[in-house]
Amino acid sequence: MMNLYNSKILIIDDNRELGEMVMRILKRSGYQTVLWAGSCIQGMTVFKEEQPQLVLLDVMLPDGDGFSLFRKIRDLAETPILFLSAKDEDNDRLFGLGLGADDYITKPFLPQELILRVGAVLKRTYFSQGMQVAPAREERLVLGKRTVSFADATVSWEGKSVSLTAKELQLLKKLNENRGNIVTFDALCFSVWGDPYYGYENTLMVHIRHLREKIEENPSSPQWILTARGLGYRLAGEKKSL
Amino acid sequence: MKSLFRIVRRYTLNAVLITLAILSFNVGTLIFISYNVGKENEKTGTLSEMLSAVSQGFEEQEGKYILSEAGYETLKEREYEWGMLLNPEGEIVWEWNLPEEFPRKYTLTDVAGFTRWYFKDYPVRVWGEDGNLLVIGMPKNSTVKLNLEYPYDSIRSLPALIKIFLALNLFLLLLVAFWLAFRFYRSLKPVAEGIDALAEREYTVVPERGVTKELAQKLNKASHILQIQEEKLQQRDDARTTWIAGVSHDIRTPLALILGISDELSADPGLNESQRRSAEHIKNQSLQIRQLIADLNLTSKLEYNAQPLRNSQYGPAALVREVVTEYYNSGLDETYSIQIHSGPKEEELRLEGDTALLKRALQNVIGNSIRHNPLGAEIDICLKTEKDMLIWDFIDSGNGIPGRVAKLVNQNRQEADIHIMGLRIVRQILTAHGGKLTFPMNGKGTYGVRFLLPLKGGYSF
Repeated sequence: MMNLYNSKILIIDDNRELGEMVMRILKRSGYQTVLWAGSCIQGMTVFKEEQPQLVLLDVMLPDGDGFSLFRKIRDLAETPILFLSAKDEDNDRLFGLGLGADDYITKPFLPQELILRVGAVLKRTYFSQGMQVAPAREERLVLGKRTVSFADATVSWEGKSVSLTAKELQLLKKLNENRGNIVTFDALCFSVWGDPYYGYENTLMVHIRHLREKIEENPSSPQWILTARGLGYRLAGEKKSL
Repeated sequence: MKSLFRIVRRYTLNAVLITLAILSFNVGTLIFISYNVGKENEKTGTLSEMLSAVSQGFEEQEGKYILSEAGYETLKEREYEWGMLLNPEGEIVWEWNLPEEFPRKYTLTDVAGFTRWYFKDYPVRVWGEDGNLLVIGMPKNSTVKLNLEYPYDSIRSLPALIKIFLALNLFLLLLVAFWLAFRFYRSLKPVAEGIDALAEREYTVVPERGVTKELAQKLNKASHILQIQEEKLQQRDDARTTWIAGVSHDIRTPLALILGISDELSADPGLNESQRRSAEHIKNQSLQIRQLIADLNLTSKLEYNAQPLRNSQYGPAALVREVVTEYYNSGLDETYSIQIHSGPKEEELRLEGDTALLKRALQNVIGNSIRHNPLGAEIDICLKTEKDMLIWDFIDSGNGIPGRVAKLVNQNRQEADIHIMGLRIVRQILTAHGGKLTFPMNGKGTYGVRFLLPLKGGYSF
């Protein structure tokens, strides 16, 4: 069975040193097969022969431009392609993404950023259906002794169960998507009501209070839904404090 | 339209002033002449007084009339040429220098003929006294006699007619002034539009005709020169921006290598601690160079208007919250705290702006406070509205903005004096949004940062 790190990655960049460095970064992070090509022609040949799961493509190549090569590859397969370019103009980025690229990374980049972006695209493309990587927490959320089922919209503990309202469920989902991070009042209101925060201050506060009453052991001293004063709320994941 | 009114007003005012000046001159002259005539009359008496005096100077002696010496003197003084006195029968009872060809007896028809006019081309004056008629003649061609005769009704309606006449004159005066002003405005309008266009740096061609022909020619020439200069400046600016973009592009790939390799080395277990620290140091410096390149690119684009604003509606309070939240979510050290203070008015406010650029401005200022206070700081961000401006105040518990920088900016000195790229970008971003950057002294005795953004175009729910 295929896993994330079995994915074959092809780098098409005319700079050999950079290509080799990217290969090292990816291999060190666990990817077993990383290939390199230094031109459009070579890149196309390797792509046809090796059928990689992901392509990292430079925009400026000695025998053509990456955008044209992108179209040619997409004519053959729906393989995810990430542009890796020194061209950082908004226009270039928008053009690349507009063509249908899965991401646009500008040089210079942090190695960790490259690894995360490559991993994210691979997960999204190949593993979201099989649930190998999809976190179970999207369906179930365990908060201490209490378990939230997003499918049933319930919170259960010690044989008891309580239902979540639609708004409470949406709020909790939004907080869970960003677990460990602060979600602003504005982002919460927009995700639940589709409106800016102004006018919903009290409503949001009431919904959060009700949510705490259902998921917290002691709602007056919350352990999970923490308030970031003046900013928003955070669903505690790890042991973090504001 | 405003300028038309101004020109018409000026023209009309000028016309009225000129008319008043001429009228004053004429009236003054009339008064002067009348005054002189009056003075002359005071000396010599009026015509009727003179004629009466001469007539009364006659004395009858044995059927003959003799004129007094004073009478003769008066006639000579007034330069009369001849004289005669007729009795009721038309016979001459006294004469003085009477031409030979004059008859010695006159009928009523003769008398009626010369009484108001001439006798044998001599202008004549007559005066009746004691049944006799004194006739005196002036030199030929010395006086013109006119007959003035008007119906009584016409004279009676004269005051009303004068009023109508004056009103008509005034109306005509205003009409002519307006017409001339309109013509002037019409001929001046293309030139004014040309100057306006020039002020907006738009190339303009003004029709070269009429009274403004010469002016239009010069304007067109100036416009052409400015256009060439503008193009040269634009080319220079474009070249500079392109050069910076090109250099930054060329640096990016080698920098990516430096960053990647230093990152590898900093985690390489084969190296000793000191070597790994050095690699970490190279990596951090590379990240700074990356930021500098991005800043240099942005500042050059903002400077030469090569950075288009991608405006969208945003809530200032929400934008600040978003930026501050990003700092917390990226692992802000616990020694820092960022507080946002905004009232209901600021919360409901919506403005138009390029949120990516505004976020960059906020990040630069908040980032400055964090970088320059390595031991931690409390950062307060206050949003308030005053008149037609939205004010964003940034105050930190550290040293704040250096006084030299604050003073230079507060004194509106050249930006070249500020060698802080981040603040320069903030200023450019705010300027691009019609706002400005200041550094007010805060209650803690240090300089804070203040954004001023116009509310124009903004609205509340």
